[in-house]
Amino acid sequence: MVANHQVWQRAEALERLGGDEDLLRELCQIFLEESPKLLLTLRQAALAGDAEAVMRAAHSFKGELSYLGAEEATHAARVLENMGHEKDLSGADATLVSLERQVTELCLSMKSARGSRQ
Amino acid sequence: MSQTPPPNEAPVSSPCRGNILLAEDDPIYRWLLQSQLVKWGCRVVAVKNGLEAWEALQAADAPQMAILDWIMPGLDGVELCRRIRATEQGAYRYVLLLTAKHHKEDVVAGLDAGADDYLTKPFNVDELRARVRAGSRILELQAALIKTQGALQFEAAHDRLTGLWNRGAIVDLLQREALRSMRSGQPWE
Repeated sequence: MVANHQVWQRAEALERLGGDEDLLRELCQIFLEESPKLLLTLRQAALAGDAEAVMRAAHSFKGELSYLGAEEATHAARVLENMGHEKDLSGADATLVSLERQVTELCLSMKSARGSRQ
Repeated sequence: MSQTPPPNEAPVSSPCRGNILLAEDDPIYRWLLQSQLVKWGCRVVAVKNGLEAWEALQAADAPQMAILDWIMPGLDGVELCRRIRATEQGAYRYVLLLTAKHHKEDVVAGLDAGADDYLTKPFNVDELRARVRAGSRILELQAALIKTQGALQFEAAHDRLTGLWNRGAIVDLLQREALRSMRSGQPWE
């Protein structure tokens, strides 16, 4: 991992929200609550071999992550969405592990940003 | 006289006209869209999937503007669009479709299915506001047009001075009544 690696583009997300810090804080809070559920849904869908469910959950994730400017995680979600679409989940496990790691890092980064601003 | 509008009335700068139906399955986007629209003084009916959206649109006072996510369980945004256009009676519905980046072909399919405009995720809230405002302008123009049409229809059939039916309207009515009588074999009423 490069030293200046950015898990998400906070400034970019803030700009999308019209510079509203409160709104960004709330958005992060909801993401912190919702992302574990979405990861679980993805994990279960992949285990069950349910390509349709993988596609839907990955699509949702992709949309959320792109709002936050979390590029690598967005990419992983997009790869999973495509796998679901192609009904080929053979590489889903590895991508899911990568997505889980990215999302965990993102959540940690959000929490530390929240801590430093309080 | 007080210049302040009543608290339940939308602010002057509100981009909305009437209620807005919001159909979005993703909880974060639904929250984001709803919280912004409400902040701008819009009345929002928020649902989580396409079937709930379709149900909400069947109500007598259903919102005239709909913001629909493209990919939703049940009925997707494009199928909803097609249904809305296929069953439209009377007032026009304005449909704003939400699509994902990297899905440009979706935009074409969406507009072909009858969407009026689209917004690409991740969107900027200022862009959302501008697009909702543009949609409201269309709905306002349409409402004004319907009003004018009604007034013109009245004017065409009534005497301007007395407000009674004019000669053209009476002749028209008599002709229709004569035809009805001949068809049914029943006397004039």
